[in-house]
Amino acid sequence: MHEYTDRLPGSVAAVNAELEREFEARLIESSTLAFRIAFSVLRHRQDAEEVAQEAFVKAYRRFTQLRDRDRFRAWLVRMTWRLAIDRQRNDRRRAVREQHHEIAPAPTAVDDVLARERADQLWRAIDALPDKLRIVIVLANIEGHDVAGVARLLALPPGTVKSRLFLARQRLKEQLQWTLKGTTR
Amino acid sequence: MDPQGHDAMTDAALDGEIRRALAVNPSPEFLARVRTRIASEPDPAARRLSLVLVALAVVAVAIVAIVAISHRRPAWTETPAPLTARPFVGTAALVSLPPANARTFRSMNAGRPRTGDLKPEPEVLIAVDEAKALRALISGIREGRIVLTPELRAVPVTSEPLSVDEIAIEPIAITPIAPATGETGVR
Repeated sequence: MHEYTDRLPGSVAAVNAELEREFEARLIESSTLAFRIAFSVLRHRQDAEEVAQEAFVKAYRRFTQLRDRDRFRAWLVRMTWRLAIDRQRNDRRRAVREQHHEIAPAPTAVDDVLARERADQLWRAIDALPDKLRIVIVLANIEGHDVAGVARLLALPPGTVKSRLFLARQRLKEQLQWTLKGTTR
Repeated sequence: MDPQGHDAMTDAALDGEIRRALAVNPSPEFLARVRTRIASEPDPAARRLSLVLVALAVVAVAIVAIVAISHRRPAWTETPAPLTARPFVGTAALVSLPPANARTFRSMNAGRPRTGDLKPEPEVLIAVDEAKALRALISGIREGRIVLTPELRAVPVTSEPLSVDEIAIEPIAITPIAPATGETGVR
């Protein structure tokens, strides 16, 4: 894979080959996770892919310290989230969003319009959450992570994750019901 | 159902909506792009090795700098020896008489190159034959073997004598003191 490998002694080259295999396994396993985390912040497919790719490159550079699977995924989640937040603040391309194309296809035109409107409301409510509540609710709904899984990824106590999850759901429900009332009047 | 007639949203319904919103997959080329990008990166092990080498080089440079500084410091921190009074021409064999502090500095730094910044006092140099001649002259004058009067007289006077005007002094008339009766030695 690299020109360095040929020049290194046999044992070092073997270690590198092993590292490459492990990283490839992590990449396949975590690529969707990283992409969805970035997408939850940016809601732009290309931007999300770029951010996830950047996170994987950074992970590769530090992979000798991140060989443990749980550690790798936790580090990747936090790094992707941070990069996406930075990108969201700096990138003006965020104005063009793809959320309309990500909704499941609706059978009729009326249903489609309603679904789009509902998705808009949902994303606006998620965007209004503080970062620490937002990442908890997003991770809980990606790959079916439970409280313990989210706690491991964020290196937080499970009790903290549970209370943040409760608070995030409460705020989202209030926000969505308020907007529903506003639209149905 | 709430008072306004809307169904209260459950946690499950909310999570279902969020899951549907997040059910987005990366493009099929995403993994290939990541692999290509990573292929241009150096190996983690080689990168780590190079970082270790750089760190070692930095530490070595720091050690050399510290050693160099610590070797230079004593020449500047030691207090100089106090200046002492000494005869201008001391002993018969004295040819070079450096200042006291300069001599101390030299003994401190024996075998070590001198830095260009230090400026000791200039040394007083008297030739041996000149010192001998001066001592012989002084002792000859003291013992009367050498008389300098003719030589001093022989020195030509180049300046003109001052012209002084005559001063006219009037004679003073002194009246003798005598008793009115004309007797002497009687009070």
